[in-house]
Amino acid sequence: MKTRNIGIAAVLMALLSLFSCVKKKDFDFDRLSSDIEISPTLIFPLLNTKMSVEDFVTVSDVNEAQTVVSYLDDGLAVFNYFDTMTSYIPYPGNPDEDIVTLPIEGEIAISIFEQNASYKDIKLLLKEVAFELFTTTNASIKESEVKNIVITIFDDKSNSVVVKLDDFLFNIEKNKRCQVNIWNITEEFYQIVPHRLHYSFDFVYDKRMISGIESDEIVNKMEGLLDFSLYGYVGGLKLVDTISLQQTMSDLPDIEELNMYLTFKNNFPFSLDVQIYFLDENYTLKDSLFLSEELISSAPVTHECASGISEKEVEVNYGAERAKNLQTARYISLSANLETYKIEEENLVKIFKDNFFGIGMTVKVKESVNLNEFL
Amino acid sequence: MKKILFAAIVFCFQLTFYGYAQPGNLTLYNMERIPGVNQLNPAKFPKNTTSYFSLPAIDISLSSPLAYSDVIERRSNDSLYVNLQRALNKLHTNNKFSAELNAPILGFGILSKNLYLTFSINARSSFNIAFPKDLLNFIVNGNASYRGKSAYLLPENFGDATVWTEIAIGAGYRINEKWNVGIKPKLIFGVANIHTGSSYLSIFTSESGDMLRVDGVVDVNASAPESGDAIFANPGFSIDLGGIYKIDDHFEVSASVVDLGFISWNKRNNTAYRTSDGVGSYEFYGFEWDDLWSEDGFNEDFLDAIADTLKNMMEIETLENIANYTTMLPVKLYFNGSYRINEMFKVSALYRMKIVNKTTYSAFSVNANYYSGKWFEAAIGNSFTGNSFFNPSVALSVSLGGVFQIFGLADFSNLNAAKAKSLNCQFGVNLLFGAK
Repeated sequence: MKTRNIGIAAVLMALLSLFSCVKKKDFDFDRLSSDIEISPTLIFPLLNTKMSVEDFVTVSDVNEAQTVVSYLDDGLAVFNYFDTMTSYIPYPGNPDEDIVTLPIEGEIAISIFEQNASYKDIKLLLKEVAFELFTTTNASIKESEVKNIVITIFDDKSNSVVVKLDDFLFNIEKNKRCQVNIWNITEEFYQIVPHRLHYSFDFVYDKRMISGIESDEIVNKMEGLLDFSLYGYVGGLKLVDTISLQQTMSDLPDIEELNMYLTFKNNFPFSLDVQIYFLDENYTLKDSLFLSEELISSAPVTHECASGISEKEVEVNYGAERAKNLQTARYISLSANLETYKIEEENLVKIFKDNFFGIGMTVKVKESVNLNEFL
Repeated sequence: MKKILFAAIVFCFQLTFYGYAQPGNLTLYNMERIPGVNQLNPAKFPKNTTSYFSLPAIDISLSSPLAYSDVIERRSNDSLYVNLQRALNKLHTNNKFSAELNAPILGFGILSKNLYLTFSINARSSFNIAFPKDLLNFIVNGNASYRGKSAYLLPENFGDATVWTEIAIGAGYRINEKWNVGIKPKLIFGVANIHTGSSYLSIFTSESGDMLRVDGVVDVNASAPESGDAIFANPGFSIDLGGIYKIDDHFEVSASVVDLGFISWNKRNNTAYRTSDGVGSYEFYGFEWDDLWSEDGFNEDFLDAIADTLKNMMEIETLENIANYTTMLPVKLYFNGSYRINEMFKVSALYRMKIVNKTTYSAFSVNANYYSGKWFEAAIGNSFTGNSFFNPSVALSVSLGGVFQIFGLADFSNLNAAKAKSLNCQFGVNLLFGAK
């Protein structure tokens, strides 16, 4: 009997201890915070891209013109500009004369950068461009009065670069077709957009009927072709492009710490001073990627060509406060100063289609994440 | 309301993750007066009765590598919060979760001289999932600590879930005073299944972080019932075998194998998910400029682009009704030794191995049983598992009037429920006839 009681007591004690150890405080779910905070540190490659000339110069349809980049047989990059325009110019002189003097004034618009880019820092001033005229078959230009013309490239606020021709007079024979080609350009222009500039004017002095009245007019069909082989030197040229974010990244988890490891690989024969600015919605500068501009050296240059790759690694560290500036940015502005090799010696360099500028960006970020937002 | 929902989610998360300690119903094995002991060894006859009829009962086993208190911590002001970092520290390199539900619907047994015949219908389910510590570490701490190595997020055969019904006819036979043997063939009717096969997933981070490589295979079979399906749509078969040897009046050894069998899942209800090229591998070195920026600015769809890339990388095909596939049931092996001190006390030691998807789960327990008259049996014990050496258990069986038997068993891995990593509860009612 005693043994039996001991056994029953042991079992009851076991049961009692089992259920008495359920502490209500441990299971008081009314006091359970729904916040689950974690702070993961992620490291991942964000950007790994190579950009060639084609990535900088894109097709544009400004004034129905087209700009493309093509390549010569030797691989040299060529910037092509095409424009076709037909207009009727009232006969400027005596209809009885076979030879008329035709003043030509006009503009061609060249958009060599993306729209919305800012060109105010592009310092291309070309002037005193010389030219010569010659005619095609059946050419009938006589006693052309050749004057120097001024070609100015500037920002016309429509985000295109305009080449303006002024004070250009030549004589054209009646009822004849002639084509005018502009070739040799001055050395100064050659330094920037050298090698070949071909802009042709196709003129026909013709009669046409206007409101039933016969009229002498000149049909001016302009077929422009500008070939800028990228061969020359450049100094102090700043390219600026601003990218709009659809919205800020402020909805993303708070960043406690941000490290960016950038690797630049420059295969162009010119150096780049690069900087990235972060702007708010009022275009107010919030922060910049680098404390000062980072110079990415030119690739080694041999016989006017890039013969290697210049590499540079940059580490950028942000604390939580500066990271917040990035997250509230609405615009990102990319800026690059271009400078060819030994600019002071005016050494010319050639740009080939396989020249590239590579950027690798690895991001290490420590975030504060509340998983409750995902539940 | 939100807190209640949140608490429910956390609690379900916790329950779902019970599984590694796996003490299960180890105490039941040495209970002599509960007819259900026959389910663990078909050579076992319940004592003190010649026949029984069992009513619907419930048997739940849950186990986890994490206790409740490993996940939810109490602050000094008694408020509670989820501490995933603490949970992470409690995990092993490889972790296993398990949940089993066994619901005996109907059963009876008759002892005739040396032959003991049983019949039972059971609804059963088994859920097992294995996951490495890397998975939670990857979520909580990120991948920065994995530079130069891989984070193994999902191992091969990481998951298996099965629901089935079984009809069992058992026969135990007392050969002589020393030997008992038993056999219990079972007809299986599969209801639903998910089988992950050789699926796995890992992410490699290069030393400098400039490259991520995802390696993975998707090889999942799933079967779900449709309305109008015949109960025999997914047939299977299993068998229980057992033997008992009495060394003398005090010592006894026994062994059994339970649920050795399979289910063939009919192709009519099958859906398979496969990586078409076998091993999927994708190296990511960063985005191209055009991926990040569109004409309108920042390309917000680039995350979709990542998802598409991963999907294309894995090239996951969804295949309907392609072929039958077969899954093995979670088989269990029992080895037991007992010593009867006197008519009222018995001590025993039991080893159990459970095999699921080529993965073994082991547990060892010691128990002490107490018998009082013909109406009362109680047991206390402790289980030793891979990660826990203190898993107390208690069992009670009371026969009212010698006919109406109520029994209950409970295994906890800790006396403090908040610290328990496993739970096994079994309750039932039997009608006993022909008390001896």
